[in-house]
Amino acid sequence: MGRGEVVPEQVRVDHGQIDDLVREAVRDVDPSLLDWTLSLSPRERLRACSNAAVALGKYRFGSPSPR
Amino acid sequence: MAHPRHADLDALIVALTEAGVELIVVGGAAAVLHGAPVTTVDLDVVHRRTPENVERLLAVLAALESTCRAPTNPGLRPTAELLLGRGQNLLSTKLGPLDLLCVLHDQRGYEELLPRTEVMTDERATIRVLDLDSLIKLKAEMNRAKDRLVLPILLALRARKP
Repeated sequence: MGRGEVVPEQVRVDHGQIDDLVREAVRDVDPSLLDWTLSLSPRERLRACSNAAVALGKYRFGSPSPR
Repeated sequence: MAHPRHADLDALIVALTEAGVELIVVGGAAAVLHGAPVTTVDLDVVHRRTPENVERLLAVLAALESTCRAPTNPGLRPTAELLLGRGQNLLSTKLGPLDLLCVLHDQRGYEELLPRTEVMTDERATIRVLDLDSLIKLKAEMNRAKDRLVLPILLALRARKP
């Protein structure tokens, strides 16, 4: 599946009230990121998420205050 | 010592499941388990509200030094009465924030959600998670900014499923 090839209408289940803005944004999802996460086991995904959250938190909480 | 701001999702889930706690992972961690490359700082689960399961859950919570993180009740320890109720118990643990939801916003609890789950297993943990279609529906219903952010990713993941 390449970038821009996802057609949300192909999803066969009823997803309730998903508006057009959200559906359009599906085309902007980077498929290589999905390839990477899907190559991991579920628990590896959890660990990757926690590691990323901690790393991002260091930027948020660890950066000096703007003067 | 202060508890961490970010949940160690894997360690929390392993601690709960190894103790035999029956639960369903929902929220951001469920999105991650399904393959969404997103971050979340807490673990949201819906636990089974039986006296036996709550007893197992309380034992794990004690080992994790869990306390209520609501500003109105800081330091309050979770109780069986709270976990058998219908509220949302937002806890701080030594493995990070843990939200124990007795029921979802639509009042569905463990028993009602059970048919809408899938099980992911490896050699150490068996994780029951809300299935992808139900998670998408839930996020669409909630429709908060953070739900709208993750929805396109969940839909892209869904489009890859047979």
